Amino acid sequence: MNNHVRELRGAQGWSQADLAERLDVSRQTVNAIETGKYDPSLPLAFKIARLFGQPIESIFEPGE
Amino acid sequence: MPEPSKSSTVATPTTLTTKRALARAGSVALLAGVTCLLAGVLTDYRWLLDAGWVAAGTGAVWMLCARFSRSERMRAVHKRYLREFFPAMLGYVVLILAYGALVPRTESVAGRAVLAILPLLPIVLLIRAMVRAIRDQDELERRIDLEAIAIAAMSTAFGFFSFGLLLSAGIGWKVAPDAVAIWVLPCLFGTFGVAKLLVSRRYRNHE
Repeated sequence: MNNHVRELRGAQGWSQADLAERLDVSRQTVNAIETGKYDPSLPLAFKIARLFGQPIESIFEPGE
Repeated sequence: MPEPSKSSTVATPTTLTTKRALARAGSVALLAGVTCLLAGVLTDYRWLLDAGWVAAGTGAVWMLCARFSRSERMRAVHKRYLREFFPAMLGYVVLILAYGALVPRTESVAGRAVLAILPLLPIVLLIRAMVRAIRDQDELERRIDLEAIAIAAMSTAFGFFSFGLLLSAGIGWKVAPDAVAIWVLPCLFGTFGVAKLLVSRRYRNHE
């Protein structure tokens, strides 16, 4: 699965640690999601979408 | 949209970070280990030497981990784990030391059995702390820990089973049965540490 979390975070001027604190996850988890090493669960994906104020499908899209 | 706020995530000299927690715990364990070793040499108690090596080794590993870990603010779930883990572990160490000191002087079989079983009480608290931490940490941390626990449990169990087969095959090794049983726990923890390191690497990338 591909995602735009890194771009959205960068646009906010947040570090990975800042985003991790807002999502109540570890920085390692944010890094793994951004680099595509880990696909978040639906509740976490919705939390990310809510934080950035965007629909979930505009942040996450199926990979090839 | 919330304003970016970096001040909350920057580790100040008083913030408890993973690095600091590991360094503090490591230095305490190392100091306790060295004290036990010195006491063992002075009093000639063999069990003090064994306890000293285990504590000093654990402390050295924790300090080494602190050296290579990032200075990141510790999350509430992990702070709570430490608050629950250390009193339980302290109770366990005290009861193990009491076992080593009192068993040679205890005549009754029932008394020796009680001394041997007593350290299991703080272990119940330790298990509770670990389960609460696994339940409340984030989903990736939980996945990494559970994968590492599965690898460690299977490797240790089958490792000791194969070791038992080797001993029963009569290849000439002489190992005391109590020594084999005592080494299960350190092997399980050690394998868990290595497995966690390897599993975590799967989810890491260029940072």
